[in-house]
Amino acid sequence: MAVKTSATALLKFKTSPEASYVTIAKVRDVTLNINRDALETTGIGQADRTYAYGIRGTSGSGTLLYDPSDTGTADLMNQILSDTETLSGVQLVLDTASTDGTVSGDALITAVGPGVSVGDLISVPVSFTISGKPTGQF
Amino acid sequence: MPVAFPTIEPTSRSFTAPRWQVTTNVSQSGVTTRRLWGSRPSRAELVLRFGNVTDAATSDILSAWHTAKGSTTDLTLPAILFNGASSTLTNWLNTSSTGAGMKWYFAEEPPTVESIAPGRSNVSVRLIAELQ
Repeated sequence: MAVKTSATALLKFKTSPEASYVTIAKVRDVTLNINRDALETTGIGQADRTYAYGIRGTSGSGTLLYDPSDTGTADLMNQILSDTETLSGVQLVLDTASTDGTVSGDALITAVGPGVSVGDLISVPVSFTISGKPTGQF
Repeated sequence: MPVAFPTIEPTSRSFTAPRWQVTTNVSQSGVTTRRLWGSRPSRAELVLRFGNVTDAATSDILSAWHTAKGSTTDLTLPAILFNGASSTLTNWLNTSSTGAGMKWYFAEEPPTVESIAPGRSNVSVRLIAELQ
């Protein structure tokens, strides 16, 4: 066993639940956040706070490098311009050599913000929110 | 036959002391006169909130409301409702220091249940203590 680096990671995107995942060619960084609410159950007579699990929420963000010839990049960016109600799909692969470390989910692309600077690559910060329970495991 | 209120620790509690039955008259000259009717206060209020409680606890509260037929049957309150208060304060909060004859009832408005998450709810209950 060994720790993994970004070299074994991939971000994939698909335009609909029925489509196939397409690897996004150039991803500078990506973060997937899976949260579960902590519902406070502390009673009046208790000195320490107690909690129960609440609802899970999953969202993420990342930065792509703009390459219009790359299908994954273009599809993801164009999703923010689409009027469709169909959910997309996002898949984060942490280890391409294993079936573990892959988490997927039906996604809404909530932000795409390409930025251009003189003498620099065109980078595209993106944000997404997963609808429902993510599938897979770490 | 009193109905036992379920033994669930509240997450917040608000108490209003019992009121004295008084009528006030202000004369044309501005003199205020108050007349006390009776020797005992009544109509204390206890507002309890049970935050993020389980469905079982929520059901117990609704069952007590149903068994008591709303505000028609008096309640026995468990000590856990007054957790966090000293014994002296508890005796004022449960009105035992006020004197005999005070009985707790559900107020006329039913308990409210706000569903928060699967299996978890916020429940609010208002109780009143009256001289009987």
